Amino acid sequence: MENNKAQVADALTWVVATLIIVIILIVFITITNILVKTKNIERFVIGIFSGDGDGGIEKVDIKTAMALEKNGQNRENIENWVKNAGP
Amino acid sequence: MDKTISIYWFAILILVAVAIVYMISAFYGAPYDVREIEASLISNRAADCISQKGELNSFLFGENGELAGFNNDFEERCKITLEVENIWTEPQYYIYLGVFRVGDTNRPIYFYETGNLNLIASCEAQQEKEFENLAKCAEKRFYSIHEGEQYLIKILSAVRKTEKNVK
Repeated sequence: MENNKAQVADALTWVVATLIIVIILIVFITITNILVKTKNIERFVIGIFSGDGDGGIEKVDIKTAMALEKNGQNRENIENWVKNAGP
Repeated sequence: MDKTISIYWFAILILVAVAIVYMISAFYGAPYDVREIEASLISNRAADCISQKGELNSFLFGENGELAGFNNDFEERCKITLEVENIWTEPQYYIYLGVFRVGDTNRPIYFYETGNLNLIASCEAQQEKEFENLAKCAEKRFYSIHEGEQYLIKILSAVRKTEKNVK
């Protein structure tokens, strides 16, 4: 086994390169898994809830506002109750 | 030596290709969770059905002017079809509609509910923290009037469909 030191050095280089490649792949796979968890479509559907009330979807807030214009008694109680809606 | 290196590079190539395929399938294979939006749309649709321009619809009231509500025809009147897929063994939706007086918001003067009543527990369990595997709920509250009387309306809708929206 004389004069084999250069071959050992070559092998070490490949081992390090392999480790670096594997680490980079693990990082990318982890990033992908995180992106999967944060997948959402909220930014695409804002338009669905902005109807103009004429054939579109009327927001419930508009109903409250219109009703308060017609009969504004107990406004504060009504607004507080409406604001406390759940998710 | 060259043969060894080319086998090694082939192995690395396959490893990288497998990683890329896994990443793509993981990202595009994961479903979007649209249940919250679906629940919100159902609530909005129900709200539109019972109240227009700030006034409760007259079909909710009887001849004497008292609040009669729905006569088991909620889905037909409001044009809401809850069961459109035959793949589920139990209902995947729940809708609750409650009408309250302004002075007493603890007891509804009229309420109507339909769908899977078991989903109510999911809504209560998620008041502090959301859980993906439970049904998603949406609550809408608004104010309406009818012939000078003031009414507070609460609509709660829940959508389960966990198998289709959560991986």
